[in-house]
Amino acid sequence: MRTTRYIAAATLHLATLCFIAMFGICIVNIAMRAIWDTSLGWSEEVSRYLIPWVTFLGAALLAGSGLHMTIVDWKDASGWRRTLLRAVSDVVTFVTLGFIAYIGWRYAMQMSGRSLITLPDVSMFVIYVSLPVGCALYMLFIVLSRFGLFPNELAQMYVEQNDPEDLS
Amino acid sequence: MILLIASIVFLLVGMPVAIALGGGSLAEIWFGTATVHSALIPQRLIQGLASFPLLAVPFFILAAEVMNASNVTNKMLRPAKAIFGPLPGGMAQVNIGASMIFSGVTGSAVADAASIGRIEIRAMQQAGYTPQFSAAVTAASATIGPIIPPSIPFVIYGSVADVSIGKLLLAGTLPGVLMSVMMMVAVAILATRRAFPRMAPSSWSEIGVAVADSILPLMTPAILIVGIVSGYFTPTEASAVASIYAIILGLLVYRTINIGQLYAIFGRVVLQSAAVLFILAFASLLGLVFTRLGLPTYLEALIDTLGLGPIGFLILVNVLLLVVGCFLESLAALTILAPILAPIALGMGIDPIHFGVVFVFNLMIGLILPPSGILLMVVKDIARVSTTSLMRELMPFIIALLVTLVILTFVPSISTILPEVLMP
Repeated sequence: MRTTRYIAAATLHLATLCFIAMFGICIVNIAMRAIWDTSLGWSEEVSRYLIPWVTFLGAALLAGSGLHMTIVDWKDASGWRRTLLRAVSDVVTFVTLGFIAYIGWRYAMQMSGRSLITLPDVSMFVIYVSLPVGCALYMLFIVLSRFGLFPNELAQMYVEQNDPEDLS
Repeated sequence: MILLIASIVFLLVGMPVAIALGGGSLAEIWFGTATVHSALIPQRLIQGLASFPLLAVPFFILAAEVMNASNVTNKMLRPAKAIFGPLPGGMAQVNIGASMIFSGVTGSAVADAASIGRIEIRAMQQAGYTPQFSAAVTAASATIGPIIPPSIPFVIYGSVADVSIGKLLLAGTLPGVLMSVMMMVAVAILATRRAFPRMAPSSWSEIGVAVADSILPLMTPAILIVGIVSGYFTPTEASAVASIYAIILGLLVYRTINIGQLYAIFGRVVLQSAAVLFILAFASLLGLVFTRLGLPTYLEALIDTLGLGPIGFLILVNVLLLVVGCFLESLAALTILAPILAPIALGMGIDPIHFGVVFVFNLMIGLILPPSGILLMVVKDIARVSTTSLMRELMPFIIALLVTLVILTFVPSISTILPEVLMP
């Protein structure tokens, strides 16, 4: 349980740091343009390529907590129906994401020879590997949640709402 | 066909929308007629996300989250009470007015219902309104949030349909005010029939004090609009500026949040953004499969055969989106249908900004329609009322919104005048 907590927490921290970097780069770029009339040439490319990391890591965490948007919620079903729906859902998810992780990894390897336009030292592998990593974590977190090993604090954090004091 | 059947089946077995769209797309590629090289799949999934305008989605969510955490929502209610309280229907009018003001801070209807909506429902119940009516007004008024800028649905629409996001954000302003007025008229009519109380009129100085107290958060939409219109910011940069402005207010001016809380907010924004962007990634793959199947061309030819004309097409789209909105989550409907319908609308000579506003407005009505209207779920849990009793009270507001939709459909200038004047 402790290991799974570390993995989930590390995933959340990594995604949060990517988001902070994305936000920070944008703000610094605007400030530099306003104050010194100059801008970071790489800011747009780097910040937009951080979105896949934020998305796929965040999506994996949501999968573990069962918080992805659905049209029908199998949690509402009971007995054998619930087991069947969950099994069908899990099989299709694993086939879909397993295949995407596989071709995503192959594509990331293909792209390792290319680099960002504005930062030639950064390989495109770093960008494209977010897809197989995200898919693998997604599947891992689903397995953990099925065995009751996924930390539920993440779900609480997501749904936590402000309840400001009454004004009336 | 395989794509459609597989996606619907996957959605009905309770799979996440994103995986259902991805699984359906892969089923079509493997067993159907769409020819897509496997290398295109990861490329599409990454490139569908790695778009600079899409950064506005997490940034607008961040601005709203920080404002909520900073208790700025409380400040929004005071000017609304002073200005709208004396109208017939007192606290119900305040509810709509506060949502209109708060919509300038948040770009999401759910965020509106879950944050300021919580206070509004409580305040209305304490003023003697039934929980059902309080919840109905709150759900209906929350739909204003994504119409008045900032707006997450407009950012996504602009991104998937390739329309100027800055113009779309501006275009929502007048329709947002119009829908607020229509809902206020509905409340005034109900107030006369049901003898709702109205609040004592506020003096000009009281209004002045209430507005002055909330002037800093109220400036958020002004910063956005002035920045975008002047060309100083792109819409994406404007969303980042709105977020940093909210952080400065919460951290330094009101001192209602600290650095630790801010980090937790960043984490929450990551999860909320991922929920939206993950669907967008797979919708992008779906769009590729649609194109390979020749679906947009087929639909264009079909609509040509029907000889509908622009107005007929808009009416058809309204009916389609209202029906779809009853069953499909608004974001899923937006990402699936906008790339198909927007090019057809453009081909028929419909202004893309006008079409974007009508499109998003339809989906906002879908948020309060059963069975899948997400706002129904949110407010019914807050107010602890049944869906049936809530729906009964919502009817006058649904009618008000449908009348607004008809006006927006037939009078494009309400949507297009601001972008034409301010961003020629």
